[in-house]
Amino acid sequence: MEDYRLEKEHGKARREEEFKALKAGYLKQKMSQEQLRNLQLVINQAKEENRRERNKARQIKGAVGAAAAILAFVILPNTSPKVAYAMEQLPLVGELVKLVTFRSYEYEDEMHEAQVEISKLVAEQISKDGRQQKNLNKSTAEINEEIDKLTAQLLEDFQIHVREELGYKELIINSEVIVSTPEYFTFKLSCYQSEASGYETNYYYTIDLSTGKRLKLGDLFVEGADYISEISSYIKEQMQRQMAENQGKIYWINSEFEDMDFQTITGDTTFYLNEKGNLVIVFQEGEVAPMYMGIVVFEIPSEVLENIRK
Amino acid sequence: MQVLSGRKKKSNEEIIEQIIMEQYNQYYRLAYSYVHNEPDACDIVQNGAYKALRASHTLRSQEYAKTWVYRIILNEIFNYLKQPRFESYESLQEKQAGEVGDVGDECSRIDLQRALDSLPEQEKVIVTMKYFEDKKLDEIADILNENISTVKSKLYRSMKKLRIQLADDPII
Repeated sequence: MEDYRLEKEHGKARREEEFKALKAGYLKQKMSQEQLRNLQLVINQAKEENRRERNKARQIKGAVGAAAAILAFVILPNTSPKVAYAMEQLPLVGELVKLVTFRSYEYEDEMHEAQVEISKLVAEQISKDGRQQKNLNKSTAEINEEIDKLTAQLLEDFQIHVREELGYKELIINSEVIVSTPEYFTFKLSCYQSEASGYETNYYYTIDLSTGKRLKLGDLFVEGADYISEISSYIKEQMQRQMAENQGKIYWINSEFEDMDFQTITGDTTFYLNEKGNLVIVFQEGEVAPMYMGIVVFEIPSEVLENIRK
Repeated sequence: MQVLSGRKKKSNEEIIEQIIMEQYNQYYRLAYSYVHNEPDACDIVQNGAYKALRASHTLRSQEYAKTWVYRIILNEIFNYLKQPRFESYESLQEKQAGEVGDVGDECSRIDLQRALDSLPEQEKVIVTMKYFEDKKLDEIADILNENISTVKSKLYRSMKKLRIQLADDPII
């Protein structure tokens, strides 16, 4: 009995020693000088490609900027950074709801640039259905408040950046009507921020014009339908297909990090309906794929959902 | 917002390059421990470095840069292993066993190496990062985007599989 225990102790100690030896072996692996030089070359190449892309983006932006500057001059005779209450109405978009540029803010110096257009939804007071009108008023007010909060925070960050001289920063905010049909009104709020490198976040707001209420994902489907599983499994299939077809595409799926993998959408997942009436699911940068994949969207074909769509 | 008065903030690109140049051997060792050969391990580090730099504009927070690069490298490793041209562990292990004669201590160390290699990829990463790279559990959890208790239990499970209980083990 005693011998057995001793032997077990001995075995344990030996295994610890071996583990330490493995560690030593592991730590011995180093890149050679030549391999390091190659790595350096790859790094330089990546930086050069980044630089070229930045220059290209700057040129394109420059061209757009010229047109925008003329417009800005009309609205703001003063070029100093200030907030203009423009109340300039854009062309009519949908009968019941309008997207109106409410304020615009432009700022540019050597290190900083902002092109911010803050739009608001205006509910026209033309509905004969009192309940629908009430809902419309409520939905638009709610969405406007959300936009206010989001943009105020981004603008404040930008202004602090300018004031504290924290280096290059760019901020672009704009909105765009994605779909305006008799049934739905969807617009996109796009926020792009960059500090020599940038990221974009897109928010989508959809109003169901028949009720005047904000459309939630679940509203699209018949009562009790398991739309979450249907959509999730379609997206997973697409992720796998795209990864098989294109080496450059990576999604978090079937990876070794199960907890990090895309599992399922939720009732709060960002979505919109495109001009074909198809559901489009939107994932922000880093949500279901490495950050370099950017914002990724999946259009769900109508066949996939035909049995459960309302 | 962080205020760095008087000092210019570094760009994401600069920070990422700096991290890679400080850590490349760490990435290399980790890659090597999976692919067991120099050219592939080098490829992985190079590809990972290239992707990280090219994607530097998508890094949201610079505080997170180290973890972010590490994740890209890990992904690179795992994607490499998924490629069909890549040999399985089993065949590699057989080869190794063939190369080195069955001699005493050397033999049982190879057993242990095999046991480590046969752990699921994520468990092996956790053991390696914890005991070979001496990383803290919260750092490992961040890199793997797991909570600490999951990492702890996986580590515990793997060490049990390896039949090792380290004397100065703080977690068990």
